[in-house]
Amino acid sequence: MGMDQGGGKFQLKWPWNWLVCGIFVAAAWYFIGIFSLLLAALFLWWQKKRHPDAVPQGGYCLDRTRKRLARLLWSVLYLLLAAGCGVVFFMGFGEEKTEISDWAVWIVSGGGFLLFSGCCLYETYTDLRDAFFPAKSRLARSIRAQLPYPDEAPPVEELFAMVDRDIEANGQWFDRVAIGKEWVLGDEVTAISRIRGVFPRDEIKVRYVNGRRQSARVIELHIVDDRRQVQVTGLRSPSELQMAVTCLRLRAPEAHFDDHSHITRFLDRPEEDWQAMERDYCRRRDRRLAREEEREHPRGSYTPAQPQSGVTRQDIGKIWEETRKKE
Amino acid sequence: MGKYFSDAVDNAIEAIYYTYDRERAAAAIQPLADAANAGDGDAAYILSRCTSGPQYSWDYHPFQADDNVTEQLIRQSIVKGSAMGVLGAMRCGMLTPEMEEAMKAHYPSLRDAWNAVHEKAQAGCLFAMNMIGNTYFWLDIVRIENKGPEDFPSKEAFGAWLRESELKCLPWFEKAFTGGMGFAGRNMYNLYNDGEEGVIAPDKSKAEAIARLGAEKGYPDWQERYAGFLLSREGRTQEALDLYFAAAKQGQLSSWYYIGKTFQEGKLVPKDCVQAMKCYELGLQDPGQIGCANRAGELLFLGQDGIPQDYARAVQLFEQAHAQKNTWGNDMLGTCYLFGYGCPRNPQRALQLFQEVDYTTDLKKYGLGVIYTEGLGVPQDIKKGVEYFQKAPDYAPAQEALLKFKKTFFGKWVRR
Repeated sequence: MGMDQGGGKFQLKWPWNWLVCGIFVAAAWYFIGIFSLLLAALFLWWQKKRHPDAVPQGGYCLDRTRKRLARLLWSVLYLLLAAGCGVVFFMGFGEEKTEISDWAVWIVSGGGFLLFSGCCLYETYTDLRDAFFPAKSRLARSIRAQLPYPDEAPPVEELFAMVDRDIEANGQWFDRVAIGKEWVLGDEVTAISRIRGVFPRDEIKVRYVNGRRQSARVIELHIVDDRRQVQVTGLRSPSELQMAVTCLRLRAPEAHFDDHSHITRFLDRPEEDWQAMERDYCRRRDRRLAREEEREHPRGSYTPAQPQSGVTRQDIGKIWEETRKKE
Repeated sequence: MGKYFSDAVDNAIEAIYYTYDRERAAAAIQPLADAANAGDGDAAYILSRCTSGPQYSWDYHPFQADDNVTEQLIRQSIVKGSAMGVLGAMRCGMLTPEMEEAMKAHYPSLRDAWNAVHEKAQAGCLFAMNMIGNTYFWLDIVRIENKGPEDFPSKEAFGAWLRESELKCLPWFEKAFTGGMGFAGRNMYNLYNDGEEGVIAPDKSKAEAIARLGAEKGYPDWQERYAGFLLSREGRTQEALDLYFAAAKQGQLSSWYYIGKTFQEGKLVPKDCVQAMKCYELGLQDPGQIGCANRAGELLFLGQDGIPQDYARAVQLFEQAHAQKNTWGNDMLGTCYLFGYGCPRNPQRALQLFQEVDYTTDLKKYGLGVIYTEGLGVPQDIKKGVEYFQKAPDYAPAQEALLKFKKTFFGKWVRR
């Protein structure tokens, strides 16, 4: 069992810490039932409050890939749906189907079984892969995609450390997005120097199912880089999304900021337009950097002048005193 | 013996009041002191004016003000029989009953002392003309002629006499001014420029004409004043700049401020902050040059356009201006104290400097935001601090700082 004893403090390593927590919750469940979950949630909240700026074990990036395990709940949901569809489908094997609706139910349940089973397998695969094989995770791939030569990227530990260092030193957190001086860490990672477009998405999607209105709010941050790749991160709060955009405006002032409805037009612009935009971006960025450079290392010819020896101020009181003494 | 007074006094008046030559003025002091010591009351009086401060001669004459010496010299001048000393003492409130008694050894009454000066004025002494003009301008003539409301049939008649008396100053000032005494134009200019209720209405065109005449005569203080008129005129800005240069070259150090500002703003001439800085430095030969201190401090604080950032020197200059009750650079000075730029960190002083001024700048809003959100020298009040940050939407550091805070579900601002 891995354990960390750095700094004289005993600490269980991931995933053992969660496993032990799970066992405690299960044991507590035996005595206090569902309140054990509440107790666990309270404990986590208290820990977060005590150490608000604490770097997660293993770093921000690894923490992000490990949290993919929580998405296994979706796998469970898909599994249940696949099981439901499977029961209907397999029970219909031996039955005689006289009406079209019987055939329809049988075919749809079969399709559902295949679809949900596929989703379950895919979700489980990606979640386990991201959590236990971070080198192959979506996050690691997105960092590689930001490097000048993705094929020659260093090992994943170095990639993650590179981003973690920036986030730890300069990171500003907005819900699930952290913005440093060089990197933006969300569900994927973006190099700030490569950001060419930022498109916040805050939409309410409405659909009608069986005459009932269902709505869902989509809050996402879409970032387009200079290779026209899009990095998307979902957020929970619209105000945090706005703050993240404000922060990006300060960090990447030359990038294009627009509403999400314009992202397609931005991405689909012809190569010539894209190149022109790229040149304009570079020109504005260079101008800003030159201004900053000049501020730090002025190139001007100014040198402080030597104080000039003017006519000295006459101390008339002293002159008067001395004149009177002469007598 | 000189034309109007002793040689020493005539020479000193010539050097101090009819020319704008610092060296010549400085050279006149010792002979004046010798003459005063030898019993020349007029010499003692002229010397007392030199220690009375810049408002009694040209601003840039190299004289150190000293109230105690002024009082001694004024007394000496009256005791030794200077009529100018009597009028001068009356003007600055030093003609006490004791001094008036001392005066009587030479002049039986104030009127006799005034007559003595008036005689010199009529003989053509510019300095005496200015003194006579001043007795009318400041209405010292009421005390000289020993008149009061009871000497007139009505209050209105007394008022009319006062108005008539005040206006009598103008011909005297004008004669002295056109004759070669630039100093004599000051009160005449003020009277036309500001007017006086019930006496004379403001007449800017006449005020400008006086300034123009002074400029044409080559008086540097008037060149600067007239340039101020021209600066606002379409197509005459170059002329204004030339006049500022001419004045500055004659030693009118305040003109370097206007020239420097012109280079810094880059409206009349191509923007050149290095040149502007050089002008401000020339102006700063006079430690009382608040404008130059502030503007040079600003350039060094910002560190732009070829001027290296130098917070320590900027703090020194802003403090120099602040010591003279000027608060123009308080936002920058406060920022320096808040973050310890070029000086020891002192948030309390920063807060005091920010609160001293009623203007608002992004720097001040940002500074106050930092003070309140961090609780530096005041109880921490994140809400108030955030409000200050929000008031500077175009200032990147304030917006950056704002990102560190968020509003909770219950509307409370907390650190993120």
